[in-house]
Amino acid sequence: MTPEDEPPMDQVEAVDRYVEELLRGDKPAPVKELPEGARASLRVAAFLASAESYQSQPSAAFVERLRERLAGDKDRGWLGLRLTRRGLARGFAGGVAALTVCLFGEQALQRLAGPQAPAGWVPVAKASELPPGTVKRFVAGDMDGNLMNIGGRIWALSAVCTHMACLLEWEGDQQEFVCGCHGAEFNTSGQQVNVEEYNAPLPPLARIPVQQLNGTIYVVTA
Amino acid sequence: MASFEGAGSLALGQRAVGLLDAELPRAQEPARLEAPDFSAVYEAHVGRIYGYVFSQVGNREEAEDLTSQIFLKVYNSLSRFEGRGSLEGWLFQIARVTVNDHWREKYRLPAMPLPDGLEIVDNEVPPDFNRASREDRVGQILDALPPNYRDVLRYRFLQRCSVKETAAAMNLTETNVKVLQFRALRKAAQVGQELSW
Repeated sequence: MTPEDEPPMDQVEAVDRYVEELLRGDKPAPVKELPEGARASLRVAAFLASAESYQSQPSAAFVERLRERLAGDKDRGWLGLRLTRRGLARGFAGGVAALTVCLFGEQALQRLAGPQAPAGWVPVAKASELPPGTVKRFVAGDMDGNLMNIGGRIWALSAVCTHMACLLEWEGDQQEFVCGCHGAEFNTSGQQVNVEEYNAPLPPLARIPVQQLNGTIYVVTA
Repeated sequence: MASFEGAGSLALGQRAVGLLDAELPRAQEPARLEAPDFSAVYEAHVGRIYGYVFSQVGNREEAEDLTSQIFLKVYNSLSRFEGRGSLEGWLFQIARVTVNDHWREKYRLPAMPLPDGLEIVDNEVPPDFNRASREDRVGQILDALPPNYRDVLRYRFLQRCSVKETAAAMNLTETNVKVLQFRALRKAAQVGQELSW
């Protein structure tokens, strides 16, 4: 460390602020007026910060938000469907657009016997049993699933591993569903996490349409 | 009358096409693929694309923003995907361009080349950006640094120590830690540019 290559302290502080924000998980405020070498540091800092971050998988809420946005019509999104005759009738009248991304829900609803579809929904939990940030197992008919409350949004995935159909366990520390048979790991969006341990990525966990009505959570048994 | 003739020639046309198809060797049929179903593409790839973007920006907000941009681009151009090469490779190219644009617009940084042997060409499977491979690449960058640079980055980024904790662990002042971090990152950026990630 010779005095002549001592970097200016305002640059040192600016880069450290950027690092601090990354390490906190925040979007860093733009840093102005850095020489190119120091600007390149910001990109490498972002890469290093991603290595041990818990945010390296997309949140289920984001995946769903983007799915809805891409579908272009929030009202058609399956979470937007109302558990009423009118809502269902509207869903049918509108048909299922080819590019509607929210296919699971609408198709499942269509498979049900027309507008009396609510008969196909079964209550699986009280909303009060599923505060934000929690996961709850349920069994409905021959369906095993997990309910999740992610930031206030209720979400359900099949609890059956797409590898050999063993049942998955929720690992709160990892925020993942883990298979006791061969160790497959899935995130809360249902995507396999440890793809590198398999010859080919496993299919994602099936999403189960879920609705909340008067404090009760229902799922569709198709 | 005209409509009858029209119908007749249409039927004949269909038959002719059918015969022609049957007589052509399969290899000469144009390799046409249906445009893939967008929802299936989204469900299958959103996790991986987000993972890649996150590795390049290091924070959730920008990663979500760019991932959205990427899928909107994909949505608008899926019909132009011609089935040459893998769909994943094509998606990943869109993702890479989007990320590079982000850094160029924000910080006038040049595009990051891909690691050796991972250039995306037609049938190449894109590099893996899952957690394990990311950690490998981080390890490669850190290993190429002088020990004190490596240590400060390890404490800060891998062990998530504060400047104060890092200073205590390395027996330095907090200002020294920040200066060391500044230099270590500058060097890591050079190494990274050579190694790529």
